[in-house]
Amino acid sequence: MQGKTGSESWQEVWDKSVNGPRALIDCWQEIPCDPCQEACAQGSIVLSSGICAPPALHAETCNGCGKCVAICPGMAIFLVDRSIGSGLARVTVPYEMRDEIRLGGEAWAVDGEGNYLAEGRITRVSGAGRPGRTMLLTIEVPEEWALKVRGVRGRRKLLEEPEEVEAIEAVEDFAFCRCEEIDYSRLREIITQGEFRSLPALRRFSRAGLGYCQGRFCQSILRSQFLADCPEEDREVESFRVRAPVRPVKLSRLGGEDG
Amino acid sequence: MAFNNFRILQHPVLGEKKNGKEVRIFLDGLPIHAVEGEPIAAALYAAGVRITRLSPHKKEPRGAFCMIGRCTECCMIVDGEPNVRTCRTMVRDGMRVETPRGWME
Repeated sequence: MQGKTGSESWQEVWDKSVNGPRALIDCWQEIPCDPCQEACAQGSIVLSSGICAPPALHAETCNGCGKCVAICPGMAIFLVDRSIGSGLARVTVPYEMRDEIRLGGEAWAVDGEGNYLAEGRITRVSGAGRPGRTMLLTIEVPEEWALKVRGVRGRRKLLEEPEEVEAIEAVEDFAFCRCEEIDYSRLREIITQGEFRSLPALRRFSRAGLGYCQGRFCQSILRSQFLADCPEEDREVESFRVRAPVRPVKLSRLGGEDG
Repeated sequence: MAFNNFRILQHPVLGEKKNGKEVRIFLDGLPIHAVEGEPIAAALYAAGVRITRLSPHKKEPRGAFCMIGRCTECCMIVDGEPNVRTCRTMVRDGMRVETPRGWME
């Protein structure tokens, strides 16, 4: 899906980036989100049809300031700069980790899924002194990767051999309803023995979802387990009333004596 | 129990730890250092306390789970008031926190 909406305007970004940095927008989410449009002082980013439309960039007027890169909550905007020539491009990516990325250091440029693309040098780090804010890292990579870089990883970490990940054994049991202390195995036991036809009956018998939190954590598991284990033709009631969590309130508080 | 070994000093999203007034709360009578403006659960976590209560029926140890006030796993007895969600209740100097030990028999 990545690059779906951008691919047409990317050619323009590619062409214009020989003159200096230009924003590369890799946003295909049709969600109500427009900080990039608001952040752009040049008016170069426009959501064409309402707030859910993916943004479009006018590469002609973009000055590569990078405000949109820092502000995009989806980290979906990058800067591409081919003005340095000699087959190299500088790509600026948003970065929110605190590890060994350093100015002048070697790092690996990676794609949207974290796969290695190319080795590069960090030429600019901005915003590092402000905790909680998105940093902008600029990495210099061979030109052919300019449109594909989506992230940066410290080189040292990647050079370590990946640990062998053991296959996780199927979880046999877990606390299913935390308030009423029912394990998942106990629920299965109740379902198989009880031959319940209605979900509220199962709920009352097992007491799952009748504790303090009133099913904030367990009700979806309870329902899907019921639907999975009870044959469709036998089911009579498939839903139950969802109630608000229990929050004890002192009578004195209601009477205005304290709090 | 005055150590603060588990306090989060630096966090990629929250940033640096903010300095606040040091206050003291009591967990089952033991004094614990806390910082004004933090929830009770945070102060307990910083002091290395992981068990917030024993479950009512089976009396199994439980600890803060969701940290946003939904799961009630961190409910404790605060100044004599039972079932107080400690992750949503801010510390106050001299607060007395007790560990619930299941239903009374």
